Amino acid sequence: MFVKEMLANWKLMSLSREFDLYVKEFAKRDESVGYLHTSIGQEASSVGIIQQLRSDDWMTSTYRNHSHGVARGLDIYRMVAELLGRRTGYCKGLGGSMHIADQETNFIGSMGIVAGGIPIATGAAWGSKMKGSDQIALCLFGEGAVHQGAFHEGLEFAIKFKAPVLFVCENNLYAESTASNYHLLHESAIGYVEPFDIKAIKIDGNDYEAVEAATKECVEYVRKNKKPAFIESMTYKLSGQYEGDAETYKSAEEIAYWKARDPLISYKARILEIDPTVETKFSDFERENQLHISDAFEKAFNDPFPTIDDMHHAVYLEQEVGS
Amino acid sequence: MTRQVTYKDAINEAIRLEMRLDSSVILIGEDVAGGAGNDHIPGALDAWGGPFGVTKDLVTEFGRERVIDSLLAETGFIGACIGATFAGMRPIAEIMYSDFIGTSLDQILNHAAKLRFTYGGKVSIPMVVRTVTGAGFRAASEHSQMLISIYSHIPGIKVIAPSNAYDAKGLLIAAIRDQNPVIFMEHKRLYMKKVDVPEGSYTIPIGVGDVKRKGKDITIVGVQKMVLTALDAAEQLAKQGIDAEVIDPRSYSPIDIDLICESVVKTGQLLIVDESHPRCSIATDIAGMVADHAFSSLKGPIKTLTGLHTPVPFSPPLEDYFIPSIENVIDYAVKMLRGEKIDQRN
Repeated sequence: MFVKEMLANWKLMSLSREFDLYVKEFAKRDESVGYLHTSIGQEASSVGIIQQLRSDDWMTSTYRNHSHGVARGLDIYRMVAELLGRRTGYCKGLGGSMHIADQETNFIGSMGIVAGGIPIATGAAWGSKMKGSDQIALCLFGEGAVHQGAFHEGLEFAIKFKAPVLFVCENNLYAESTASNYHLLHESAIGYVEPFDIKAIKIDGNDYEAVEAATKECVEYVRKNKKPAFIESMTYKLSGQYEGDAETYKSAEEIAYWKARDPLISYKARILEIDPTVETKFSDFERENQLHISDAFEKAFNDPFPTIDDMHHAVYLEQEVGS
Repeated sequence: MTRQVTYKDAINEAIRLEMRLDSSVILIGEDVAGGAGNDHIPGALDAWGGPFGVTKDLVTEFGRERVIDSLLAETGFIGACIGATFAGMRPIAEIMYSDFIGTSLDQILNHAAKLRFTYGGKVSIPMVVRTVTGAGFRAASEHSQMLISIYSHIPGIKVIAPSNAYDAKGLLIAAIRDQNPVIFMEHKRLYMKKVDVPEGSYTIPIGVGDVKRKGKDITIVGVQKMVLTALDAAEQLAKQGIDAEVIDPRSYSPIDIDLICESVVKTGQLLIVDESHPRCSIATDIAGMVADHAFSSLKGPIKTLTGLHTPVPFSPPLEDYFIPSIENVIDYAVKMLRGEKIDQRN
């Protein structure tokens, strides 16, 4: 049973990886997918965190959201349709890769402004508490966001008004092309929350089991105490800031170091350590995921684009006057 | 029953009635209750209720759980209000002066206004941002701006700026019940002005303008407090035999351009009076739309009478000069009807 769960987690991580690999290749021959920010290298962090949520908990992400959508269990075909700007996508094609959201799973949205979702996730948690619900909110962002006012104001709001929100900073060591050892004024992002009265932990985001354990503990803490907590999940983007980024700012040594810490490889090794008989499963999962994704692309590619009416109707929700 | 009520009290009533009706409605902002953290304040009546006392005493009825003194961090609480709508709340956020919206503009511009659209029209953000506009209060450059045009430029939010207590109450109730983010702008120099206001609840549809004075010779569109200036001017113009029609758009996004065009078709003359700056403004916006839709009805050029392309000055004589006066309106209207050249105010 235990190994079965681990395999399911690995399969989900692999689905996220294969999704991004397919999208990268696709973008080389078709520019219509627009701005792409893949999550390659961050899968253990994303899947390990999001898997600990309850299905009605809220979640916000940023433009680097592919792994978050996959981890939330979003339908791959509808994610692909969104990337292709099709009407069948999660946002009817009006959002694209950077703005995947799914209101049915309380995935509020993916914000293009790095700290933009921090007060919003806080508000969803705060609103749920006012409504008497025990839902919490997960707020995912990168370490570049800690410099924005919205980070500080959202954090203060959550602490002052006791919003049950789990802030997770996925520190992938780069804000665009600027290294975190340059842009962070503390040793790491957790330094920014130290002055506050908030539970805060720093974890190895490439170690699935560490992510899982820490998040489980924090989710329980947030739900039980109805107050925020903060996790800094140390990881690395094995791809560039966006597709087409030549990544000249990374050294060969650095890339080699992190490739050796690829979370899919390390988690696979951990599973095999427990049960060596499942060796063949991994390549089966990869093939299955690849097929799933290529089928989704094939199907979504033939879907219609949104209409001009779709666009106009999405601006305001019209209603009876005075009702 | 109808009685004379100030603009400020009409707004207080609108909030009170909606908070009684719907427990999801909350009020949050700097000092909206007032006195948080000071136990020596004997009663809510002694607390501020905002710097103008608009929300005074609401905390007595609804408690500090629903009338919440925020931190001085507009991005934090505006963003939290956006998030709270997902959980089914209907927040009213107060930004003490419209000039402070710069500190929360990202949340309004990129999130409140765009979440519904970006996520394919599947959500809505039912929240109201109340804020205070206007010059003439000796409040200098960072507490006196109008800024209606900045918000009206952004698709996805609605913008209201009423000119009297009756409109303020009906439009604010409509705004609180609206499913979209609404910016509700209150002019600080209107707060103490009284008109007849019904006691109970009523709504005025957002996006419907109002003819405040019927006339046949010239259409004068006033923006918020300038409606009153235009009405005063119209009374004096009447003594000179000029019959001015005064229109109050009330809402600026959406805007009732048809009402303005119908009036222009009748009068053939259009003067727009707006105390905001002259460029990229509500005045130029209305002028452009009327030129598009009703050019052939015009007997002369459209004129705009506005504040200046300077920040609002503190020095009292200069501030008075900055704001279009009744005399300015009369001067413009008379010259327009005589076909005389008008030098732009400078």
